Amino acid sequence: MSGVGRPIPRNSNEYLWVASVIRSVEKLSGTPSRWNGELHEELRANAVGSALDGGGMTVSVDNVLKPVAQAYTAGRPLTETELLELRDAVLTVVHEAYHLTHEFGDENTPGGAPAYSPDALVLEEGLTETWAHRNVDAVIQDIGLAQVQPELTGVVSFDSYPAYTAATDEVVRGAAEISGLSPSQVRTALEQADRTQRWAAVADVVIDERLADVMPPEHRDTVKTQLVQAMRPQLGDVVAVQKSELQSDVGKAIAGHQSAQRAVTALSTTTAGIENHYRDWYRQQAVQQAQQQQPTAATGPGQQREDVDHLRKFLGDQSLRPVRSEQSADGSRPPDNLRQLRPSRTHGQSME
Amino acid sequence: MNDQPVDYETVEAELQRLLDDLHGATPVAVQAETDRLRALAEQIQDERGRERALFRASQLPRLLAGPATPTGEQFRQAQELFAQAVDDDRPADVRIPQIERIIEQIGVLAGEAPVREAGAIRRLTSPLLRLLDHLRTASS
Repeated sequence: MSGVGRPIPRNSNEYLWVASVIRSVEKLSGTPSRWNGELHEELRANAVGSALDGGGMTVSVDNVLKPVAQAYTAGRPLTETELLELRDAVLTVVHEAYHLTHEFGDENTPGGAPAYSPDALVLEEGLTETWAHRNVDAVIQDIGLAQVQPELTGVVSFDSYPAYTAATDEVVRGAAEISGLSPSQVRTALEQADRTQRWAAVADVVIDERLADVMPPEHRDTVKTQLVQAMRPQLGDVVAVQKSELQSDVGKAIAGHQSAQRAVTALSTTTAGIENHYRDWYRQQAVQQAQQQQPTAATGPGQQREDVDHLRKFLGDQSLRPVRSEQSADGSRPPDNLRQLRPSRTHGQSME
Repeated sequence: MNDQPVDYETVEAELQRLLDDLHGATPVAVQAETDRLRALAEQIQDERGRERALFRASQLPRLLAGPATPTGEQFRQAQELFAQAVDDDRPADVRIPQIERIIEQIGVLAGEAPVREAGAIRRLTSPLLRLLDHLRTASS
C-alpha cells in the first residue's frame, strides 16, 4: 500500500507550521530546500512521515500534527510526556526537512554512490540526525515555539541512529586528520554535497589538500573513484553489524566503531600510496634530469638549479635521491593508471 | 574576529564550528569557549537576536555531549529490523512487502517502548518510507 494520504490544506495551521519549520531549516542550513510545497497525511499508523525523493513530504496526524497543535491550543504548560511527544514531532519535521536541503545528485559520476546503498545511507542518516539534534532548539526558537512552550528546549532528545552518527563522526574526524582540514570544514563539505556525492566529497577534500600539488588534474576522477572504493565497503559493514541478532549492544557498538575506523584507515593508506606513487614519479624525473643536465653553454649551473628547484616542489622536503622505477617504460610521462594498493572488495551493495 | 557587527548568525556559525572542532576537549576548555561565545553574543545589538544567541551559547556543553542513546530492548530490536530492511539486495517485489512488514513491526515496538524512547524508534520508519517510494518508482 501507499502511505500517502490526502493533501493537508495549504491554508491550514498545520500546513503553515510545517512550512515554517522547512523555511527555518533552510535558513539555518544556508541551503535552499527542494520542498515542492506538497504536504500529505502519512496513512501508516506506525510511521511519522517522510521527505520523499520527488520533493514532497508526508507527516503523521497522530504522531506529529496533533502534538504540535496541542502545544498551541492547550493553554497551559505541557506535561512531561506531552513535551517528549512534541519534541519528537519537531525533530521528525526538522530531520525530514534537512533531507530536502540536498539534491539527489548523479550516482554515475566519478565517486558517486547509490543513495540507497547501505554505506550511503549511513552517511546520509548520520549527517542528518546530527544536524537535526544540533539545530532543533534553534528551529524551536526561530518559529516562536519556545515562547509558547518554554520547557521544550530542555527536553532530552534520543538519537535514532547512534551507530550511524558515530560512524559518520569517525569518517569526518578521520578525513580531517588525513587532509589537514578541521573536522568542521570536512563536515561542511559533506553537508554541502548531493546525497549521491557524499563519498566523493570526502575524497575531494583529501585530493585537494594532499594530492592536488602532485597529481595531474586529469587524474582526479580516477583517484577519486579509487579513494571512494577503498572506503565504502568498510562503512557498509556498519549496517551489516546492526542486522545481527546474536551480537550484544556493546559488541555491535565496538564492531561499528571498528568498521568506521577501517574506512578511515583505508582512506589513509590509499591516499599515502597514491601520494607516494606520484612523488616517486617526480623523483625519478628529477634524478634523470639531474643526470642529463651537465653544465653546457645553453644551460649553465644556474639554469640547472632552477629546474631542480622547480621539481622539488613536488617532493616536499625530501632529497632527490634515486628510487626504483614503477612507471611507464620510458619514465617520460605521469602514470595514467594507479596501482592497486589494497585487495579490491566489491562496492556496498546497491539496494536496487 | 573582524570588525563586522556581531549578529545571531555570527554566533550560530561559531557554535557549529566548535561542535566539531572541540571534540575531546577538556571541560575547562569547553567552559572557556562557552564563556567566549556568550561574550560574543552579548555584543549583538538586536535584543531578540541577543537572547537567542545567549541561549545557543549556553547550549555548547550539552550539544557537544550529543543526544542520548536509547538503551531499551525495543530500540535494539528496531535497529536490527531497520538494518535488515536497508541491507538487502533482493528484487524490489520481494523487498517491498518485507519493508512494509518491518515498518509495522517497528511501530509496534515503539508502542511497547518507554515513552522517552518511543519517538526515536518510530522515526526509524522515515527512511523506510523513502526507500519504499524509491523501490516503487524504480520498479514501475
